[in-house]
Amino acid sequence: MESADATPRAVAYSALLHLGIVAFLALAMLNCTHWESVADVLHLPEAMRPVTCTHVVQLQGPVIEATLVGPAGAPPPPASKHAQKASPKHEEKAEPKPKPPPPAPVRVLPTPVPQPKLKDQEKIAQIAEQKAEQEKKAQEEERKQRMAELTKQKEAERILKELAKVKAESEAQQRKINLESQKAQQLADLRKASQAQNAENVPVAKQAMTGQAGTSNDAYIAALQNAITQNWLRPDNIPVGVVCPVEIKQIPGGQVISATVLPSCPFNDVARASVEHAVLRSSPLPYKGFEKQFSRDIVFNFTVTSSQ
Amino acid sequence: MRMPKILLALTLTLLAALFATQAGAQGLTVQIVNGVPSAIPVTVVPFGQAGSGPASPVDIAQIVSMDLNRCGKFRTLPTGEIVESPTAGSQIKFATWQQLKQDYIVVGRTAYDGGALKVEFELWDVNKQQQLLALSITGQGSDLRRVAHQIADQIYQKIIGVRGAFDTRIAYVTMVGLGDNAQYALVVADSDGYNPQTVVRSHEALLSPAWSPNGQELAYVSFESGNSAIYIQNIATGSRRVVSARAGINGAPRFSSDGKRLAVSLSFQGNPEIYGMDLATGALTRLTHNLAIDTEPRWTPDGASIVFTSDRSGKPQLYEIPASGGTPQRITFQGQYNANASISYDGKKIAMVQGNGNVYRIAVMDRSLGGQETFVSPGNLDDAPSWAPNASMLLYAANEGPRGVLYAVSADGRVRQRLVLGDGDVREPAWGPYRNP
Repeated sequence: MESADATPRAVAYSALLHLGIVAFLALAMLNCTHWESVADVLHLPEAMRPVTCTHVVQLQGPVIEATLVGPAGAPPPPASKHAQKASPKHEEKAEPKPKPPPPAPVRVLPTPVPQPKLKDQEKIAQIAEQKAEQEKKAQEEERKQRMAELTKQKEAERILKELAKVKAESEAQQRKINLESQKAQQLADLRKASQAQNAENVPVAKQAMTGQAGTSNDAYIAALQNAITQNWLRPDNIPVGVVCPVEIKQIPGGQVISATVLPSCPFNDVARASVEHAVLRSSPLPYKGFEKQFSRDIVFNFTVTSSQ
Repeated sequence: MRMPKILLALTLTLLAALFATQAGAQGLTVQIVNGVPSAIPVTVVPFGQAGSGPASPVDIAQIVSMDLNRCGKFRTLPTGEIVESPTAGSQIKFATWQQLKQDYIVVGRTAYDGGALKVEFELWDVNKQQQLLALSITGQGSDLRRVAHQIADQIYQKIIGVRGAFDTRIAYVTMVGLGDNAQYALVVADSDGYNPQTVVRSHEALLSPAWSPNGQELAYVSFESGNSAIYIQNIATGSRRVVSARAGINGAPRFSSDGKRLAVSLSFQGNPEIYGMDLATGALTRLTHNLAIDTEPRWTPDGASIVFTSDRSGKPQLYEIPASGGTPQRITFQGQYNANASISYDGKKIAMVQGNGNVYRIAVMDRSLGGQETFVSPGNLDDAPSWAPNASMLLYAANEGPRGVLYAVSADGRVRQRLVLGDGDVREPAWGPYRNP
């Protein structure tokens, strides 16, 4: 089907294509510096340059013999990074990622002068080491200072806390005295007045006062539960679902001064003893941090929900 | 003039009541759920010795401690963790024991009182710092193990509220040698296996020892005459009498709880049937009428009925029949094989050998919980369960290699201990009744 005159055109195309490939290969064989100079002439920005060359750093002075000690590891990435950024001409490979030691030399192949680089690395490593040491010293000093401050602070805190405790105790006492005098006053008032007093006011006011316990009551309850649950070493024949209430009285500080298993407790003697022991063993109950939520009277409801 | 005064008093009382309830409402209510299932922590401090004289021949505190551990209800502090050694209540530093999470502490001391040893001990509640017991028991050197068991019993009763069963005895059958050289013995020992004493020795098989309720006699089956015969023997004097030596099988004697009757399995009328025997007259009452094998009768504690093993349904199962006769009711429905029952003192728990496939384990059926069953032994060939008189523990026979051994296991199956016994094959344990001190 093809016409004969199409053949020469095809030959021409193929010759052109081959020429193009050869030209491309020739371009690829050009030295890196040529490319760079072309890029310079075109004023291409850094990001758009097709190639960036590696440059050999030439340093004056005698050649230093150096041997590679250990994996080309540890030294100082920060320093070399810095160098790279500051002068793009500086050898790039000076910032080897320290991880895989063998690949590094493979990549270095085009540059046959590893010595200066090693020297550089060593120098940098030394400097970095010194720096690190200095920094360490500085940190140490700072830490010491901070510790000293902290201990001072702690001491102060302790004293403050103690003061607060004493204050709280005295306040509690004061409150108790106040309450008692109030009670006495109210009773006296009542006695003075003849019969129908609007007596309900008194307790209602008290209840309102207890309302301030407020939000973190949950935390207090959780702390109490935590303390007592793990101390409840119980016999394993307690029926599931029955509840044994134990009424306790505690004093500020959490010391339990009495624990009474209420008569409604359906447990047997051994289980009753176990709940009593649980409460007494947990004494002092959590107090620190719960001074506001502290309650003199607590009822603990002991119950078993699963037989195991 | 009087009226207002009364009214005033009334108002004041009402007010006070109101005040009280309000004060109660002020307190917190906290739920404590589940806790930690655990045995009761108790410390038995090694007893001290006052005055001169040779050291106590037995470590009383150690025996008490082992007793308490064995029953599964207590967990004693290991000797290595006992950091202080008070020997009297006044020397106890409660904070120490509270820190070690102990609920109770036992301290004690011994002193020579003439030739006998006087043992004093005290039981204290660690958390309440309250003395619960302070007793002194005097015993001869040879009795000291028994004194220790009695102390353990006192502690058990004080804390658990049920009489302890450590100061009791057990009976079992041993076999030494093979074939013609076989030597059988019926042995009585302390509940922990110590102090074994042979009651009967025979070249022919001895079987099924059973205690009389007063603990003075043993009924057993002996083949010494060639055929089986049921004997009753006084342990202290050794005197004995034959109560049944009929044709065929004379087996499985059991005393009723009043000690006046014996339930037995006899085959002189054809196949093994259950009979009740009046011990005073020897009169027999046949209770079962069946072509199957009926054996291993066990009295319920009230003496009203008898539980026995029968294979009338094809495989052995437990049945219950009124002691005066009647229609037996099958009572076991779990497992392919149920036999060799032992009934607890309160009649609530029935221990039995339950077989499934080739595995035979001790199962406890709790009739107060609707027949709920739990296994208390691991198998594979466990046999002959026998309750302690307070049902806190069970004895049973097991195989260890070719040898039969005895185990004591707590009623919940959690603590199991092999009894220290002599050589030979040990079988058919029977736990004796309470002993009078």
